[in-house]
Amino acid sequence: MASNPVIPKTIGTRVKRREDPRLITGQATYVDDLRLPGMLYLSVLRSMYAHAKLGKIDTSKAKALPGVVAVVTGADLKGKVGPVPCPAAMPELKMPEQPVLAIGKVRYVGEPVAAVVATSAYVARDALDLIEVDYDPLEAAVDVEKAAETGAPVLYDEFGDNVAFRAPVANPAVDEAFKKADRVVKLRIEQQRVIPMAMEPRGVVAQWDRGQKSLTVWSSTQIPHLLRSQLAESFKLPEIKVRVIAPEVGGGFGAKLNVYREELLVPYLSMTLGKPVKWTQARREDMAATTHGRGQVEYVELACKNDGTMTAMRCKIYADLGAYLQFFTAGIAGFTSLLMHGCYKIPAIAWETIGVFTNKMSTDAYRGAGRPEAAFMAERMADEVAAELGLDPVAVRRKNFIPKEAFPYATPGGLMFDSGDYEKSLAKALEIVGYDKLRKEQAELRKQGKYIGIGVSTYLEICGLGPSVLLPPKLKAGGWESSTVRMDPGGTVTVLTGASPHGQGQETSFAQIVSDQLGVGLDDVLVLHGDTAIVQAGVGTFGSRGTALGGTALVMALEKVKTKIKSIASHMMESPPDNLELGGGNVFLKGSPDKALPLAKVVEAAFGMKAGIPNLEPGLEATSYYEPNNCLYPFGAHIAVVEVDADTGQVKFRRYVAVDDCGNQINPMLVEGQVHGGIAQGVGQAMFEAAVYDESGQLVSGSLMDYAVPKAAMIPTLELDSTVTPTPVNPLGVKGVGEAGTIGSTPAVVNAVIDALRPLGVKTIDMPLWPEKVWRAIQAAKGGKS
Amino acid sequence: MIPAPFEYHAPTSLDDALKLLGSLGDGAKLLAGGHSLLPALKLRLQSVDHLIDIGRVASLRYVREQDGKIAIGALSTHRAIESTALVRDKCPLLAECAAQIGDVQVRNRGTIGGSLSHADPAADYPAAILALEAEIDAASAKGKRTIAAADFFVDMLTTALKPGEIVTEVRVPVLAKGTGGTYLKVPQPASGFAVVGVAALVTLDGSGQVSRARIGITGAAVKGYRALDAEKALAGKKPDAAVVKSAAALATKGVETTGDIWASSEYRAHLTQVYAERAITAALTRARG
Amino acid sequence: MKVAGTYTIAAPREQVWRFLIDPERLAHCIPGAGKLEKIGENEYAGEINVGLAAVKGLYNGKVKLEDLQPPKHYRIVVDGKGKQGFIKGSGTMDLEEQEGKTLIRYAGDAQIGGPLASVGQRMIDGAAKTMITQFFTAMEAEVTAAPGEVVRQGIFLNLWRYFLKRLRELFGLG
Repeated sequence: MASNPVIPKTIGTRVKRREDPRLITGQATYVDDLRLPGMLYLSVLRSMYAHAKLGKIDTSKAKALPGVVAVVTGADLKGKVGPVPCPAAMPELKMPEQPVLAIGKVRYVGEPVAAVVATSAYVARDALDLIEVDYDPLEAAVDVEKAAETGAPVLYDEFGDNVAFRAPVANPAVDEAFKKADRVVKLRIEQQRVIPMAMEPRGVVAQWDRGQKSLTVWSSTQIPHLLRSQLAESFKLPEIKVRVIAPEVGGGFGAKLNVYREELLVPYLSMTLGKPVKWTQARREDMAATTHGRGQVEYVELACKNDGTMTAMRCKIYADLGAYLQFFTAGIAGFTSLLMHGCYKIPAIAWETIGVFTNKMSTDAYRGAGRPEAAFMAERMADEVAAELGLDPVAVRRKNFIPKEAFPYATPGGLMFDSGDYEKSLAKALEIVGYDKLRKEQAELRKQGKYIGIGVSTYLEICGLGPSVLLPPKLKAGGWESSTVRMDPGGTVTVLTGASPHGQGQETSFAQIVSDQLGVGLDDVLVLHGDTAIVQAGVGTFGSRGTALGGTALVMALEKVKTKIKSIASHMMESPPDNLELGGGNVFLKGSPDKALPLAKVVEAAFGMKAGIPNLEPGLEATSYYEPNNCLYPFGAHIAVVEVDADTGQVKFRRYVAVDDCGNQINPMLVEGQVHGGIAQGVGQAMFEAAVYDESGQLVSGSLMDYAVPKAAMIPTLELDSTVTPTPVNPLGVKGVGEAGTIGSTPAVVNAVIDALRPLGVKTIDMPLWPEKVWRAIQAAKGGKS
Repeated sequence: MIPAPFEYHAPTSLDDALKLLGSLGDGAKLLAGGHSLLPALKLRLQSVDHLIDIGRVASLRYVREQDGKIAIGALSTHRAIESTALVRDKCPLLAECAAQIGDVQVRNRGTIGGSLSHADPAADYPAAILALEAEIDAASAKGKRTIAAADFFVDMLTTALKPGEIVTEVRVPVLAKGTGGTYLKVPQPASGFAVVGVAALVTLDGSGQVSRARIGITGAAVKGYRALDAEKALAGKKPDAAVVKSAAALATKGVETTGDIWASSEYRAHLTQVYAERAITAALTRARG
Repeated sequence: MKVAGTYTIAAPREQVWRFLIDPERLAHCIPGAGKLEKIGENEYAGEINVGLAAVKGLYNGKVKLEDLQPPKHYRIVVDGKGKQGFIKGSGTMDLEEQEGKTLIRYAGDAQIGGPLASVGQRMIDGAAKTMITQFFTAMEAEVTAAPGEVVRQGIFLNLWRYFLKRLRELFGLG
């Protein structure tokens, strides 16, 4: 029969990203690239004060500026739009109302106070300078621990104090284990606030169609469907009257997994003014008024035996929530406590989480969201145990690993780890780095007064969330994901995914899955996403879920399409469907690839309906929704080797090895890309990045002049490898890898620096490891000035 | 980020630029590479009525040897200075300094005249310019004068330039044999500016004694300065490690170092001394050839 | 931001004190200040063009003198607001008589907010140090001027004065 070209299997191969040509040649369309006829421009006036009573706002001069169409304040919007939706639900959670524009009080620097709509972005910005606001400044609650104390300045008078929630999970077994412990190690850890800093700041365009009474919103978001549901609810519109489009999105890192004030404000103004309205955030606004990540102070204690066996762990976490609750603000620390034991078999854990309002931007998900904090805790503690007992940090880890035979493993926090082989990834990383030799070299160099440090991190995380019950009950979405596979009459394939990739590369990896399963070429597959009018209900991309959940939904939909293809082919080839296989652009008899029917003929039959197949429903299309029955638990081993200049506190990288295990890999190049970016951000937190608020609540690292996102030269040369421990949870055997690099790297780097300085008596240094802090720690340890 | 409105002027000759600057007065500001001015305008920390873009004044872009010195047109970019063979061969200290400014994109736009005129306390050039005892020419509608490097940096963001003056040329010496120099800096990881930068230039006589030492420091205080006490401590000495160390310890003597989130005043002073020691040591190695 | 330091002025304490409570002469020495208007007991308001070189902004400010203990101590409370941010602070001035000269100890704490704080943190300490030096140098010229003499103030004049003073100190000419 036909001799179609051989189409090789692509899963597991390094297919180049199909997204990249348009991205790197500047041909992609982001929110700010949109130009609609009659479009107006919005500019937002933000509070300069961290905490102040709002007095009179005089907008008359701004309104008088030629080109200004409208100026609005909180009072103008009260009862008309807002509050900002928040699905958080916890026992006794204090839930403040977040207005679209501040009413009565401002509670963080950057809080929107007024907004100008004008005929150009320039006029809109000029008009901001003409608005006069009377502020009556109040003392600000900035430090999370102090803010939790009685007597601290209170953000919400109606709540009486700043403690939003207190979630203690006691465990008598923990107390017992601590009583019996040979040793107890303790550490205070600061997870400083960091800024997600997507390359593309947030932006929104809204267009109200008066005739259709429908709203179209373009937003730089990770969750177009969820945003649509929330907008429909907020504006009391049926969902069919709201269309949300996430065009090209230049990164999100969790910070665009939210509904923000401007996402309500821009549509509201478009509906009121009857014209399209655009708002694009400037970098400074992004830094001050897009959610921050981390922001925890933790007191951690670990009980162990003299041989290094860990017996119990407990922690008290102060979660710096910021001024308002965004989507997951209140939930992030929950991940931290559940996973604080990392990949170690610690029989008993206990924790207390205290969520505290502060006069700062809200914290929320940021690459890892609660798990980097957990891994950092576990990995720093493992090193402390080793130091306390004079053991090698690797030996302590090996002693306490959950063994691979123990999976599925029920954790003391109530999770079920799917699969793992922690020893395998560690062994590989140790081999690559040449651990034993390095330790000898370190000892030699110490004699010469050089401070080399080796930091090991055997991290674990949770991703691919997960059964829907694990998500906040009021969230208008679940833990599932969806996919449609639609063969077109010309034989090409359109995939509609509910995931909303914004840099992860699913336009490539999903095409690979389709190509392998249907036997069509990669160029014959189009992956569409991010438009609620095109794509069936979906959830979005966050928490390393895109491929694991969206990919599984895709496989399920492909199964349905394949079944139909085989059924049609079965008529045409006169062979039972079970005897048929797809590949190389053909349907062929199992074991006899030469007995093949071109797939094109099946497509022709399905759309032309002239093959005389009885009861055939035209078309080749299927949709599947996948609800996972468990989460996924990727892991890996990172090893950083650093040299510390004891005279100045400067840290230099010598080596960086990462062996990650995310199960099966669809495209190792995409996996590496994710690990590269993840490590960059993890190293960033360890060494460079900090959202520094001064004591009056000013964000003093408020521009890229002072907020140090690592540049390429500041990142070590990465030596990457992987192990493959497939998950039994999904048919692809894949786990997520989007956050792994961030989670594994931060503790590896900090452990390395502490390891270097251990002979001097340095035990801990708060992140980021800025040279002055390292130098002061050395001075303090030497007993000198601190 | 949108600046407040301004009038834009783009003269193509120095004369036209000077006339504009003279006639527009206080509300006018010169735009060269724009790497300090434009962010300040966009952040609305600064506003101008008139922006005079001198980028098209081609006569201010040159690097040439002239009367035993290297003459550099004020609009020469950092990149041009770092990569011109003449500077690399005959005044490597300046090339090294230029090469450490910001990143390639910044160096491709930023100019030596613009950087000096702005007098950012953490800019790199002041250290090298002071150590090299450069001469800076300034022109105005009234004429031309030469300002010695030591007199140029007056205060934070303040130079000896008078209203209406434009820096036209910077002259640095051709370094003789027996002279070695280097510029070492601690870059602030976000901005690339110098947390501390030290330029050391030393000349050894036939007997291996320091006949001349010049140490320029930037980043440490409100303006670049010469570490005169440290220079004196080296002069006439056989510069062994102990001499260098004790000289470097004087690098912040009498200077009030500044502090920010990246480095407190105390740590900055410490860093200055450590880097002075390292820079002097490296300069000596080069001087010994 | 905290500032503290000392400055010696070659004038008797009484003379320095009289200067320090005279809003008009005080304003003459604050770099960029215009006229101060009395709005209450020891309380004045005015516009001040704060900043260095070209990076300047117009602020509406209020100054209040409190806890007056002539001729040795007062507290000064400053509150300024402009488009680039705000400055809110207070400080104390303590005057000590030293062989006909006056040693001024100053200590203050200021909050700086808005764009100034969020993008200018690396400059703030240096800017404060520079402006304090400018203020005291101008003040010394003002205080030690002959009665009726009009003192010209300006950055170059004051830097020149500052330089001469340092020279005198260096050579022990005090």
